[in-house]
Amino acid sequence: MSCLDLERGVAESPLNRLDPRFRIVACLVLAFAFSAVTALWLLPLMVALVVGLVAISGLGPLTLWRRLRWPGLIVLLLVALLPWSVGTTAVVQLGPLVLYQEGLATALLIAVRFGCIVAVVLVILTTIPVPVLIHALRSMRVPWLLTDLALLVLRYLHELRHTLERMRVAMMLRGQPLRGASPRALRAWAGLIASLALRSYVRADRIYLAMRVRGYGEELAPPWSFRAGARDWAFLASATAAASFLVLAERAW
Amino acid sequence: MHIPDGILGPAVTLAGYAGTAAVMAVCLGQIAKRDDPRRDVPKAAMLTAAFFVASLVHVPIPPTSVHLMLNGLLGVVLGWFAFPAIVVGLFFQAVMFGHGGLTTLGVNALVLGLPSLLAFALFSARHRLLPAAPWSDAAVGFVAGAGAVAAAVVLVAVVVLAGLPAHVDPDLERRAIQVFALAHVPLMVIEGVVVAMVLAFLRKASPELLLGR
Repeated sequence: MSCLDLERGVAESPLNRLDPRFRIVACLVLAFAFSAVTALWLLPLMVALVVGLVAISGLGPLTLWRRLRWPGLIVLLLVALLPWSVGTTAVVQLGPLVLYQEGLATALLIAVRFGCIVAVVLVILTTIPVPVLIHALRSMRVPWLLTDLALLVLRYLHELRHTLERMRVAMMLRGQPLRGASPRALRAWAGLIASLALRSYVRADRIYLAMRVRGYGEELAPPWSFRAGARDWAFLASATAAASFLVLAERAW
Repeated sequence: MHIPDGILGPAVTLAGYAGTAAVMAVCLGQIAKRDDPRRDVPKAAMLTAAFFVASLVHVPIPPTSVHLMLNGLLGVVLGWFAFPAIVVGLFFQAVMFGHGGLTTLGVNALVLGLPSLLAFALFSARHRLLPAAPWSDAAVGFVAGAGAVAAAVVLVAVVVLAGLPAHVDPDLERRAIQVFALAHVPLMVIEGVVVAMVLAFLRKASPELLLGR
């Protein structure tokens, strides 16, 4: 199970054969370096780097587009509003509206940085199967409570989604309204959420006992062992070099 | 409500990670004081998954739809587990669904998690503030639910405007925060009412759920 439905070729890509721990670190290094870029001339370099990674990953443009399609309301709002509201150097005047150079540059910067970071996360991190990703985080000394919580949430997420859907259908069949903001509709929503919470709570005790029977809390051999090779180090070194170049170039020029 | 990648610079996002690590250390320290901290993990996970799923559902309110944040409810029900639960939820949203962001994970955790812990503190202190009665639970539930959304909205607006890589006129900044906050007032009211009703339901059906924190 991966975060993405892996396309043919992705699983066999050289990127996907790398140690997940090195991929996590490389992804963070690149993402933070991208977020530090403010010089517009560095944007084409960032895009070229991301295009190279996408090419190595074997991910199709369609998958990438599907993920980038909904960039979030905040990014859309900023990109749409900043050119008209921030800056002092007017580029074009359309009646009462003035397009500013500084706002336009900021909007471009935000849009490209957003696209590049999302693409890097998609290519490097999202292609790791989720259980492997969580075990890699555990081996990187992320607290056990967080990784255990993540594994259990993942385990029951889809199941509870189906349960909620069944409960919604049952409520609609009983004639309880789930539309609008009337007191009746809000009471129906609250009942739905409370019932789901209650079902989950009641079930959690049984789950804990079953986990104890299976040895939860005892030191067990990890299901995945990670071993880094020369390729992993080379990948991390390349990512760090690219990130360092972006940060240093930003300061130097 | 998430701040996506690309808007904030590394000074803000790294400070967000540092702040999240500090708050997480406090929460994990409190959880570790329990007799058997592992016993509560499945409960926290199940409730996290339940609230996560419920918050993904769009409540149709014609002509649009809203989705509940439930960070106040998470704080009231999960207590010290709320912050780790929010971090896990945000991580999944960023990696699995492409919502939110990886560089902004720390900032987003603080934006949603701190109001959640405040809701927990308020609910824990309710009997010191108000007489013990069903209406007082509902009233505190409303304030916790609506207040957690309001705090998150204001924090998002302030962080985004302060972290923009361009100088924004202070007047424009103030107006933008006001408009952003006002646009979320209906969600605050709806969330407050729903949280109050959920707590009233849980108080009747399973009061130990509200005490087992």
